[in-house]
Amino acid sequence: MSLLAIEDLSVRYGRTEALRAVSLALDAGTSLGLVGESGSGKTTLALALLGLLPKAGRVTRGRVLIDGVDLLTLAPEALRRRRWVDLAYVPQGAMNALDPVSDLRHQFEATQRAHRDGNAKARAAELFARVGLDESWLRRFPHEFSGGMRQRATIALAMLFEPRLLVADEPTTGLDVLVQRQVLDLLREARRERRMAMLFVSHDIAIVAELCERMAVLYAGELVEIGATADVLDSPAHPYTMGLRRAVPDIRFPDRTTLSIDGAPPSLAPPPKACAFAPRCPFAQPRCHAEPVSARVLPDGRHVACHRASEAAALWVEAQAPETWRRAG
Amino acid sequence: MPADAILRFEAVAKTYVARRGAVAAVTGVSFALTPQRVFGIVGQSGSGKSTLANLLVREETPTAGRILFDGADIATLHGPALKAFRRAVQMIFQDPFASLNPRLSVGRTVSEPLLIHGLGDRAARRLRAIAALEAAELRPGAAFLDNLPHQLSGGQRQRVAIARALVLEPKVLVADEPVSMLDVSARAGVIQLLRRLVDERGLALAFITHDLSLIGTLCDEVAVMHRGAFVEQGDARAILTRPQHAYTRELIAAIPVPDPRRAAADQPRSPP
Amino acid sequence: MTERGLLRFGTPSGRIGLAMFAAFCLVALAAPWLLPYDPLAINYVGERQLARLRPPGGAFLLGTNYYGRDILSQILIGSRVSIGVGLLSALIIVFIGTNVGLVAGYYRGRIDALLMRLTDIAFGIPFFPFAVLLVALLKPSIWNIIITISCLLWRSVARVTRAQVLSLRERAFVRAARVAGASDLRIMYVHIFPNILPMVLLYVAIGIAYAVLSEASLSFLGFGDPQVVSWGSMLYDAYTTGSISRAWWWTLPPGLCITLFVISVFLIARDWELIANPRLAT
Repeated sequence: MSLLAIEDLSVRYGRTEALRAVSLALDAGTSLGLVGESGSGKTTLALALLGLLPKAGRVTRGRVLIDGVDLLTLAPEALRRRRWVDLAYVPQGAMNALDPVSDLRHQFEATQRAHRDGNAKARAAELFARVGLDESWLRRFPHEFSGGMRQRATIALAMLFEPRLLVADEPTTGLDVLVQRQVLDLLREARRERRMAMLFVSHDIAIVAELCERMAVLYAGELVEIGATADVLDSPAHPYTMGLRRAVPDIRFPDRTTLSIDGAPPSLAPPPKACAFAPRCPFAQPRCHAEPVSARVLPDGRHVACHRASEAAALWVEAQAPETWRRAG
Repeated sequence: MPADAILRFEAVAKTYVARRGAVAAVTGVSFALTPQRVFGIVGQSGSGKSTLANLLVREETPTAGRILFDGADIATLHGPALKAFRRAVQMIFQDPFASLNPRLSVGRTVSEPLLIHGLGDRAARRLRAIAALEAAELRPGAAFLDNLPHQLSGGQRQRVAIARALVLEPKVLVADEPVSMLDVSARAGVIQLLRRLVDERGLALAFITHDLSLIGTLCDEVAVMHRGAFVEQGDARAILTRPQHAYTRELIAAIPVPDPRRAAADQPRSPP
Repeated sequence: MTERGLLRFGTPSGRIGLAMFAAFCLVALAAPWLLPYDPLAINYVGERQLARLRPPGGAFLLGTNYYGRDILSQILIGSRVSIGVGLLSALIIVFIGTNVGLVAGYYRGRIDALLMRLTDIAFGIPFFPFAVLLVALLKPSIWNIIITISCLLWRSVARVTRAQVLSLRERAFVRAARVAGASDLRIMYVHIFPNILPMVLLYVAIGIAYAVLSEASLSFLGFGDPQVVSWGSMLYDAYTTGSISRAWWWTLPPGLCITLFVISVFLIARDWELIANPRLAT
């Protein structure tokens, strides 16, 4: 049984359907990267999974199973007990999520007290060492830390109970290149050492390529492609993934031009009935604008939500040329 | 220093005096902006690049050294000469939403610089605004005039900001992290637009960013900034492929690369 | 509730407030034509008996006061002064306060320090003693009240506006205007001011409420013009003639009018606050 199984999850904010029938699974000790741009629903997914949706968000359908138990049906107290212990969360802008008026030692102790009995002091020192922070920093306040140090402190806090699943939402956004490198290396280490499963949400394909064995691409609230990272990046099967791949620069090839995808994601209030990417897709056919898409399974085990999934290889060749993207629609 | 440089920094330094002591944000920087060329400035936070951006558009004046525009020291400009400088040097900001007044329509925002400098009557201003919007690839320009910022996507808003910068027909553009708040799939378009504008209009562009991977296709020359100084400066392609300074090499090595082989190196591939 | 919805319809309480406010203003405007009696005329019953402290009913719908004056007429004509002084003073307060806040917040440095010291002085001056001082220096008049309110109560508006301006001036669109060559005046009034307008309007509403209450208090304490009838002066007369405990029909109407008018303004202000700060609605 998978550690985490999300089945058919749909979330709505008022009239906007932010997430539409998303299903994915994560095995213990493995990592999955969730890639998407603004409006894709990736943060909504992370929040829904943890039961942290704001008041305006409602889960309209679906289940979130951890070890077979549906988190969405748990009473608040039962959910709280699982939080932080089984699954931990490093939110977006985590460096600003630390309590500004208490020092780090207190924050560790408070977190410890909130979930389990025990002594947080020794653990805190050990965790700080693991993220590369000297123990003396435990007595300092968040504003004395730099952005990168705060991020590392937040990750240390998240690992207090050795969670089996860590959900990290854009943990390196806003950090300098060098600091980002440290945090990424740290996350990679942490995963390897304790076989922690990780759900990593990011808009940056390169980071996902580094950290995650599997990758899922979200567009307009739907999962359009999910599979092994190597497969998805080497030969993307969904036109949106293809466009995204060609939009990302590679520092090793400074001369290669990158491409843009014209247009913008559609409004989700109400969501489109057929393929949401069709208006921007250079390979769209009449049925793409008319018929809803269901996921197909490719020979390598990938799931793709595209009418033309069987032609993916040929389309990818075409997608690499800039002219293809100029005649989109 | 190239002879036809239009904006020249000569050993420019900027030190701020705070209660705790002096902070040297920029320490002795020299470079020149030339028409039809893009000069990239790469720096992480705390490198001094924001101060450099402010110095470029004269939001701040240097505490040492000189900044020369068309031969004149810009710190000494007043009145009409200062206004002429303002017409010739324009800026594009990082946050496309915050850089547009949320209560003004696109038309009013783009034509305001013309109003400020008293260029043309209302009809003329409208036409020039439309031309600027179309130069920024928002076509047809007239259709965008009545939109408010919140009705546009991030990429469109940034194009409106570019149109506003273009409407005065400046000679120098300073772009401060113009794409870092845009979706990845929208960045290339804006970067290519900037390159086209430089080539077609003979603009001099200063492109400030923290992201080295954006430099390759846009910049002719690049300077790597660290703690207020340029640690490396020269031809963009040369620096990216054969970096000389240790800091530059460290930066390039730290950037994640969209190569699935990196992920596979850690764990065996498992089926979905 | 979206901003559009609020702008068009407001909340139910806001609409009630608006209706009440409109009713008061209409009555104030039409007062001279609605008066059953001359408010200052001393009325008699029959030939020689003063119609003193008559309870409501009969010829006098709200009764009469100690001097035989018709209370309904006084309420009607008094509304002009109370509401008029309230509105005028509120506009002056907001005008002074907003401009002080704008200039101080935009220029900062020495100008800011000077203006904030002035504001601190205004905060330091106690309201009623200042009114007493004016009465001592000038002759008693309704203008004393307007001056007192206008000279002092702009201080809160100034502080709050300055805080908003301090943060707005750092926004990118203000920097963009500066780089484009905009003058300081242009930036202050074309760019910053429209973005603080919702808050300014909120203060207009609050200012009206405070001004009306201040006028009532000052008149009640006898600092107003004895010839002028206002809701506050009615309470003053009731107090000085020792009638407060005896004639409820004299104190209840003006007290009720003051209360209801101020409530109506606050209900409207609440809607404005929701528009200015939509997060409060959730």
